[in-house]
Amino acid sequence: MAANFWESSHCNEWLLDRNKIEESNSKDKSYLTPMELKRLRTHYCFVIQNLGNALKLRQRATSTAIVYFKRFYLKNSFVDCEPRLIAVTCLYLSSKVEECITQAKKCSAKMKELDHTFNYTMNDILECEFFVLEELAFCLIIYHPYKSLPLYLQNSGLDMASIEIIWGVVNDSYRTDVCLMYPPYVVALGCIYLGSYLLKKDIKQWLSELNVDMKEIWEVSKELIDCYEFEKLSSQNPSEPDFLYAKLPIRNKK
Amino acid sequence: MDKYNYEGLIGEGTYGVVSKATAKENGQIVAIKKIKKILVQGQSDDGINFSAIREIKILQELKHHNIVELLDIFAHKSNVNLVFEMMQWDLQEVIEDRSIVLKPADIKSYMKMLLQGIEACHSNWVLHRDLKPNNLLMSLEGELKLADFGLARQYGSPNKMFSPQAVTIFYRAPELLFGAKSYGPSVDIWSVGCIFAELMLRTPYLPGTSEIDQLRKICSALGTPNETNWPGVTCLPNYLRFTEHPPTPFKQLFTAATDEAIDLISKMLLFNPAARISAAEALNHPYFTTGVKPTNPIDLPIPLAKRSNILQQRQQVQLQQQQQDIQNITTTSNNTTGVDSTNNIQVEPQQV
Repeated sequence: MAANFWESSHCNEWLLDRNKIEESNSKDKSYLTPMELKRLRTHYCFVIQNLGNALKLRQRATSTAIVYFKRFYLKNSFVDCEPRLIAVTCLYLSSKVEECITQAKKCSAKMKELDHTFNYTMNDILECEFFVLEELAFCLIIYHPYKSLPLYLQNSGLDMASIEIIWGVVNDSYRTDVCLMYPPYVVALGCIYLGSYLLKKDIKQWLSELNVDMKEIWEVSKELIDCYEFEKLSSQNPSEPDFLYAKLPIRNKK
Repeated sequence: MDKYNYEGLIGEGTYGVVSKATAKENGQIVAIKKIKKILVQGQSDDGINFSAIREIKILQELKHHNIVELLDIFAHKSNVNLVFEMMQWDLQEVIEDRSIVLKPADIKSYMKMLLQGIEACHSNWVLHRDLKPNNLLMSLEGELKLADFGLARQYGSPNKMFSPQAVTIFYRAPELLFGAKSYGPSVDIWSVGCIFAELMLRTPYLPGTSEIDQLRKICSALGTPNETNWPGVTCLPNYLRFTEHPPTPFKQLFTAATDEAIDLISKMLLFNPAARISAAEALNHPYFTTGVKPTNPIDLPIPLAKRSNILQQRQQVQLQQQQQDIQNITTTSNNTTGVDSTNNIQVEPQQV
């Protein structure tokens, strides 16, 4: 695993409990129901993912950006800080941090292609960049479950072909808040646990022999199942995010 | 910006100017590195300097007494400012100061602090990649700290391909000169070896004028790299065959060095990066456990030009400390006796 997770700001300052995460988007709660807010928050994870794909960034940079976005809104709200601008800025910043830099100009142009109503320019992103840095308390290194996956899979006896499915599950996990609550190895094991269930392989024996808190692993997989069910329901109404966005009196909207 | 009183420029770094300032809140003296925003014509603005992002992300995670501390970050106009603890002089000034005699115990002290800093980087999977005497800064108390992480990188990340153009040329490891795109902590150890040699010689050990000349200097000092002393060297992208040349024995060059010192430096300057000693191993080397003890940081030599100023600052700090102690004593005695302290002890500020 790259770098020393146990001494990192990620481990010591940024693993939060559920109550802390509940404080996110506090002002938006006057305009949206909890379900609506959840829907909109998930929507912006998709936005970042799609933009990352369009810019051909490494998945790692995209995942880092999603974590930045979630951390940013722990103390801020959509009504004060336009979520699409923050989403793009998070991705622009993470491309630098993950050493696969893209240009701010490209970011705004691609975003405009994906969302014609996006009117922010390169300069808006650059102006926003330091603000995002500040709100992240300059903690930029994010640890991800990806690196440990091959090792765990090999050790668990699952065949390496299942890595694709589990890799996808890990990507999906970024739409939940598990990346704010659990260390990456727990997220990895939670995703493997769920993946093994989908693949109809029994790895309970292997998991029980690991020196880990099974309750946490179970909670990660439960978060994921909830997320899939929630998305299945909301997929019946694809225009809902635009409608919810319009409900918010966002300041300085462009 | 409003939190600091600026007191003038103190230097120019790789990507901006450094100013001395005092924090209004607590009077702490700091060094503020202003990162210039360079707009190249025709190119689009790339926001906050990439090196600054690297420095921020790494220093925010690395806290160690042999690594310069990043205290604060703020934006002013379109510049990003990094606030560091104030450092007083650098190792290059020491090496170049002819009035200073470096005792073996002094060199051991520098090497120990340098290796401790490097070990902290490496155990956090960070490569410094730009170690050189003027990046090794000394605090008021004589503690050596690594600075300038603008080239530092995390390694072990999936894109293992690095730019071979890191590290200042004198201290550049041979694998970088041969264009290796995948390298590790051993590049920093090579630089440490060169600095070790420079501390003993008081002049750069391998002062190459170009990459080719650097390799030539390495070969004439350490012999020619070949498949025997460095398996795989001939496969490196920019490998060049140099005429076979015997190494100059270290003992001949470093006449005053102990056998342990010679053994340590020879393990730092091995051609094969995989065989080179690690920072953790080096710290356990007999060099540090036998012979003279490393000098206490506070007793290390200070460059002549700064000596009186440093000693004065130290005296001030001591004085403040004493006053603080007296205050503490009076408040505690107050608590026990309940007597008003105002006419108990009067502290006369001493003239410095």
